[in-house]
Amino acid sequence: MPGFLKRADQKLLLNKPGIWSTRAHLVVYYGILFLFVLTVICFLEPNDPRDYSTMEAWIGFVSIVSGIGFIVWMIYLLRFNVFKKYGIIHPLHGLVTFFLYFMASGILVSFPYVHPIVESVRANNTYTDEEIIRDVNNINIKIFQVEYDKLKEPWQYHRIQLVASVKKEVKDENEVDDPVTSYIINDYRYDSSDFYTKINEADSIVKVKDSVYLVYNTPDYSFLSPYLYWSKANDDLLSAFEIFKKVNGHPPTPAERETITRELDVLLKKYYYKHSRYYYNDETITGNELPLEMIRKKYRLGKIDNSISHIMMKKSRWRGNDKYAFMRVFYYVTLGITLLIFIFRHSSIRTFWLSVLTGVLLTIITAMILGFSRADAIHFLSFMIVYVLLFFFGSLAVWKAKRRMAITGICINLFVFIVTAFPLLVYGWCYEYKKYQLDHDGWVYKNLYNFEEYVIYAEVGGAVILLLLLATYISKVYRHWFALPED
Amino acid sequence: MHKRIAEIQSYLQHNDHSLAVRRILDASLDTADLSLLKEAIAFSRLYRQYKDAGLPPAFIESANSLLNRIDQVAERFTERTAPLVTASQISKTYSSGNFSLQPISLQVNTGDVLGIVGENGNGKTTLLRCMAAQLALTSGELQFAQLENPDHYEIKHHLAFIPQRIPRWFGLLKDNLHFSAAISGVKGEENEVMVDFMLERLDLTPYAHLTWNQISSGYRTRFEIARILLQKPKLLILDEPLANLDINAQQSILTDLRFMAKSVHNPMGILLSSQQLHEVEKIADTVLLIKKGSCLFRTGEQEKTATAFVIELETTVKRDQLLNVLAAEGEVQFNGGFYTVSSATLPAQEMLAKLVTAGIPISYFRDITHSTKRFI
Repeated sequence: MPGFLKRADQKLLLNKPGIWSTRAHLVVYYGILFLFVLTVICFLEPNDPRDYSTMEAWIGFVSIVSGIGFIVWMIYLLRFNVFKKYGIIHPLHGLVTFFLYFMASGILVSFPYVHPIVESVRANNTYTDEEIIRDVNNINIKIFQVEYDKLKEPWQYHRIQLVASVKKEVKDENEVDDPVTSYIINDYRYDSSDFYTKINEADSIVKVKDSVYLVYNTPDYSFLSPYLYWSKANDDLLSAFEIFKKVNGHPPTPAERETITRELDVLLKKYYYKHSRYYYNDETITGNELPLEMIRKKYRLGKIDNSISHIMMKKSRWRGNDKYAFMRVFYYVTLGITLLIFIFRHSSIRTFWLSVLTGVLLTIITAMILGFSRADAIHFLSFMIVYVLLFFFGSLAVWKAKRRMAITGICINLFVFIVTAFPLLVYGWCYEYKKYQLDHDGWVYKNLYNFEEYVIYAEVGGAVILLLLLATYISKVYRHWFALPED
Repeated sequence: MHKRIAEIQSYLQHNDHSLAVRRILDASLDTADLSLLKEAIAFSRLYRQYKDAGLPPAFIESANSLLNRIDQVAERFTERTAPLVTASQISKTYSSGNFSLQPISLQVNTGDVLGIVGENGNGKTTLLRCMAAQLALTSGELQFAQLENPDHYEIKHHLAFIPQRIPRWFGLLKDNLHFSAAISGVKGEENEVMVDFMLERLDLTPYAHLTWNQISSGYRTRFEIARILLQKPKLLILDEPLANLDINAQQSILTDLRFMAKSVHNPMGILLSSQQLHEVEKIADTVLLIKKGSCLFRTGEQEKTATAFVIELETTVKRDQLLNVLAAEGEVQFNGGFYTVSSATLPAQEMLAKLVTAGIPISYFRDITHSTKRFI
């Protein structure tokens, strides 16, 4: 232990034993140190942003380190406990220790996040979004320009026909005259709503008669079509039709073609990663390929698609809903661990394990009841709400108790563990009930608000309720229960 | 000069240095002066440093100098007795029904040492655990005079219970002591000084940087006592504290407990159980004998002790010879180790005189007329 930390440790021991006994200061120091070292190692990892992510392996390995960190912390944490030694405790002792446990747990839980973050940072530093989108569009346009002559082939189309009712329509073989029968790929019939939508969305149409159109499909001129993971980026990519429009009618001269080929080569090399483990490895041109397939093989677009997808996946990891998913995993794992530690530190060992057992048994019994009765979400949520209320009222019994009973301790423990989820359960119940009512009344769900929209308020509400209860009720109820004489 | 100071000086004059050092530490603590306490700790360390090699003349000089300064604030040595806990007809029956502690009443004041003796399985530990509010009472009640409407947490902070099997400590012994002092409100420099004081006072300094596994069971008991004392409990309850101690340590711990109970700094009541009847009787104000869950006898109840004079005797002679010497004035019982002689007419001293006059070789003699030993 470095000198300054030793001095700080000693100072806390002599002046703030409640804080000292949590050992959060040691976890914070060594945790941050490890995070720093891990970050440096992750930056030094020879991992090209174009290559597959090695995140899973790192998360697995670092999770083991986190686990070891937790065990070491527990060994130190469980040595001293102000509460169980009946020391002088501040009314906010419970809240403060909970916060310290949360902080220490959070640091340990954050270890597996380092590599994904570093991968993201490296990918973002190497390639900007605009750069990738610009390059993908340029590659597609340039390939089209260079391969212009090979792509002058008739387009495929399909025929759409307006009918009064799709169900009642009987096909009339002589109704439509096919101008280019060899390329027709399908024949569709639509009612008026879908029919005009198809016409509006089509790249190119030919009117046969008022009720019959030929809808032409632009060939796949988006030769490079990586999965961009992020809808905004996908929106900025040029569609096959847009690429066609840019190039059609302006074929490059041979001299221009040479320049374009050189530029294209530079762009392709920028994204070509030769060690890529691209599963479709057959890039040999046999001469039997269709033009588009031949072009993909010629420019090794499979590997380049893969490279760009990898880059975008790494870049987009912390955007949109993915970000919230990562944050939720972090928050709930940290909260769960913190609550277990908090409960263990305020309960007798026997009661703690009895609480775990009760929790497991209740889960099994509830699942069986719900399963056998073919219950739905609303019933499950009702069960959970009833449990929270039962545990709460069970914990109130401690104020009248003359002796420490395991059943009261179990109620307190389970109440503390589940109370954070209470607003979420109530919100979920209300949502499901509303859904049930709309369903019952024959309404469609689109009139219902989006569940995700308000769930954050329920989550924040849960956290606030927990903190308020820690400061007011939970610490007091544990203090009263734990000190009661035994039978 | 205050009589405590004079007493310590007399110890020094008669070369009872170890006792003198311990009393100086106690006296300096009672002055409530941190600088004097630090000096006393330094003085104690000096003593430990030289006690084997021979004490330098400066030792006595510094002792006298320290005593003089303590004497200047000796008006602070005012002992006050206050009621601590009153147990009224408390009884306990376990839910399994295999044992019942019959109703017992007792009161402990600050400065009192109350011993509880009895054979194994007769209810000593049950009584102590009831007094420590660890067990729910079947009947009766406990009143803590110095606490107003206390909850159980407050009660348990107010008292300390040391079980016979001391729970294992984790980490450095010294850290445990600092922690115990700190959770009782002894913070900062005072914490450091108090821990040093307790280590010196119980002669534990050389072991402070060790861990639980590195010390013997006797030292574990002493460290536990040190830890509990640092928490400044008002009522200290010890279950068989002498069980793991050697004979010297037993005597020393009991004497120390006696002094600590009467400490001005933190006067407290002590309730202890033990099998060592004589040792406990020597230091306890009151001794209770528990047999089959009932209080069979408590010292001071003269009506129960006046029926006969009783002695314990260890000798090599046969029973007949003893009976001859006593000339029908006493009855003799032999338990295989020593004789118990009881006489309705001969007080202990007269019995001893008769035996000595008759030339009976005596290797052990004890008057147990007023001792709980008579009932065991």
